[in-house]
Amino acid sequence: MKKTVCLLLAALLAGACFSTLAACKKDATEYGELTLRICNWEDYISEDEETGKTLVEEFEEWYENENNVDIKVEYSTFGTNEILYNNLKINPGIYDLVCPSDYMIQKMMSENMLEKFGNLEESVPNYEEYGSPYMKNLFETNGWEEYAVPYMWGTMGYVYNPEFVEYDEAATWKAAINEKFKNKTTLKDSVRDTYFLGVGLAKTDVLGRMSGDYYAENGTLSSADYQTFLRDAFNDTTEETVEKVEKMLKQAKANAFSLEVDEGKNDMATGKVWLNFAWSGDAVFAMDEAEENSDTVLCYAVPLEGSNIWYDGWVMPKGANKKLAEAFVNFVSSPENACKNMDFIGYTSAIGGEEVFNRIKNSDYACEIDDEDAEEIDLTYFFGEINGAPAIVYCNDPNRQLTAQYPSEEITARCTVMEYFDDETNDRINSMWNRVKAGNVWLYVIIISAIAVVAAAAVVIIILAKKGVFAKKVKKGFTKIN
Amino acid sequence: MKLRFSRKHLCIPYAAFLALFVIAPIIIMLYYAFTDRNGAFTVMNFGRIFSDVSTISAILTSVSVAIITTVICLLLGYPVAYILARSGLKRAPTLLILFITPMWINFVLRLNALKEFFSLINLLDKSPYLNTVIGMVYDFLPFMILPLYTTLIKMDNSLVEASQDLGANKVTTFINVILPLSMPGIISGITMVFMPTMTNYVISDILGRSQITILGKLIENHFMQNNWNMGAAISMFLLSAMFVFTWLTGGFKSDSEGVARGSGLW
Repeated sequence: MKKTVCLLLAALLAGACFSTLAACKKDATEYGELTLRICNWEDYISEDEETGKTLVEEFEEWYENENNVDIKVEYSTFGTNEILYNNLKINPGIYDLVCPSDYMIQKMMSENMLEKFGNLEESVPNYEEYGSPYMKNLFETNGWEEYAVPYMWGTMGYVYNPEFVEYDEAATWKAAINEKFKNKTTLKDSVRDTYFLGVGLAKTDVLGRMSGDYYAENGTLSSADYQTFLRDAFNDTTEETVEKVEKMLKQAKANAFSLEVDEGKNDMATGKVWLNFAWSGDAVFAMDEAEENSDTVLCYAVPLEGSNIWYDGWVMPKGANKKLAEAFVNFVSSPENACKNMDFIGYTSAIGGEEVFNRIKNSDYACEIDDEDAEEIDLTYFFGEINGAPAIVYCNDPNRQLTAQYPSEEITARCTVMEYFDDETNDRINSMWNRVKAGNVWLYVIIISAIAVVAAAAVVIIILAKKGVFAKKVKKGFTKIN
Repeated sequence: MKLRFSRKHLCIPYAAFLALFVIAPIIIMLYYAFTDRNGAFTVMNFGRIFSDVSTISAILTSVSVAIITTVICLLLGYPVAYILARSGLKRAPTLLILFITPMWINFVLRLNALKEFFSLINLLDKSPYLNTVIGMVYDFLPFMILPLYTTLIKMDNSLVEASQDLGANKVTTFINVILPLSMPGIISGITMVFMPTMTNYVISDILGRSQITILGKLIENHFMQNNWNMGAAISMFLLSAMFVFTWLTGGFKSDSEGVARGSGLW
């Protein structure tokens, strides 16, 4: 009887807990019209250094003043695209606005998980007016423009320490398996990015040939053909390629100091490693930090054989509060706020326009035209013409922050986007990656066998000791006791 | 039925807690472990544990790291516990506190400090396996010393004296009297070191620079890769392995032997 009472009470308590939770949820939906639930990458939005206000709070204030209503923004963060995707799958409709990367946006689009943006001229006029023509073109040609508005973008490459590593050594995928840098390189502990690196390693030769053909003065390869080739090559998931990638990644892992996602930046600054496979925004951050805190100069190189161009974009999951979400995207797309974001997080905004361009031109990363080593970098492809003139900046330090943030057209020509994998391919590549991470089974078999031998020896010794083999002879007058 | 409040009802909050946060999660894990991606029943997840190189490798890694760590902890911890408990040092409790103090600081902080120290003495970029073992020993040594200490301090000294009176030398006394009497402490020390070492992947991540994959890490990988079913299956496998291990070491006995388990710690 008592047991029943106990259980009953427990059930009641559990029930009470759930109903409270349910009640909370209901409240949220009642407030729904005016609540905006955003999920963004960690450390991916500006925070005012003086007031400590984030752009999110500024948006709240701005929107309230503008429309004379109370709104509430619930801002949360995620760590990987896969986690965000999981959350949305398990709990559809928990977010109004999220910011996944390219391949995840494609996956969500293909699974019909996204709402379309309204006519961009009305819904996100800032992007329509200031968005970079390059970005818009990229989105239009790929058919993403209805579902996503780009936020940040960049390339992938190696951050390197010029004290130990030459540009030529860093500007190739082979850097990851270069014996010279044994224990001084890093790999990303993130399967999608590392697979890209693995393909780069597995196909270095053919990629290098095509790149040579494209960049040669009398080259016959057109830009479009080269792009098609790159896209197919880097997104190749045939059994044969995956096998080669596994082999190469095992080699790269043996050469690497660590598998990391975040610590790489620090390890570069402190000199623990010399070569860090990184996203361009992290590269800018690492270069800034190293310069400020440890007087170390770091550089950034995009492999000559071709690399990845990525972007993160705002998308609205099905059932989102479109009006508020669009207003927020429009707010962060203003040149002023784009600049704030770039200053704070180091990544490159997808917003162009005169204000952003002038900020780049006058930043510490760039130099004056009359500077001795000034090199011209033409960014017209990204910014379009500024006041009828080509968008040209000067820089005396190539391969550093400025080129990491704004790669020249020459670099973007050899960069391609990642595509999403279907479930079956995903499983294959994940198991491949797990095998790479697991290391050599035989080594552990040997260790275990060694342990077994030692244990057996110990048991024998203990048994012998119990029998008194090691005991000293018993003194006269005493009887030996066992 | 008459409802009367008795002392037994005080356990209801805990029963509810247990049901919500221990029993329910296990049931959910069981569900995932025995279903595939589409929710259909399958036992293939368990089949994959023994057919996939990555799981076998992770199991062997975990087991070898756990055994080595436990043995080192025992070899280091036993003499310390013995001296503290039996030499009649006046300051023994103070010394004991010194061994426990590190546990008051968050272990992630301590590990990061250890990482910097390793890099200072140029050990960090050497063997990740060795670094992981050192980190594990560093972190779990107190868990070995404490149960040993509590067992040894409670040991009846007259038994040792009797052994010596009857002519046994020190080695014989130790092997035939002290060691068998401290067995409950040794077993509970082993359980408290062996089991968490199998899964504590924070240590292998920080000191082994993620180059070593132990079972805990593999489970995390599967969850991160959106493969909950495989992750749950490995967790269930690990849980049953732990269960068997505890059962073999007599951890479920409720007689006086069990009293020494973890006493002084929890």
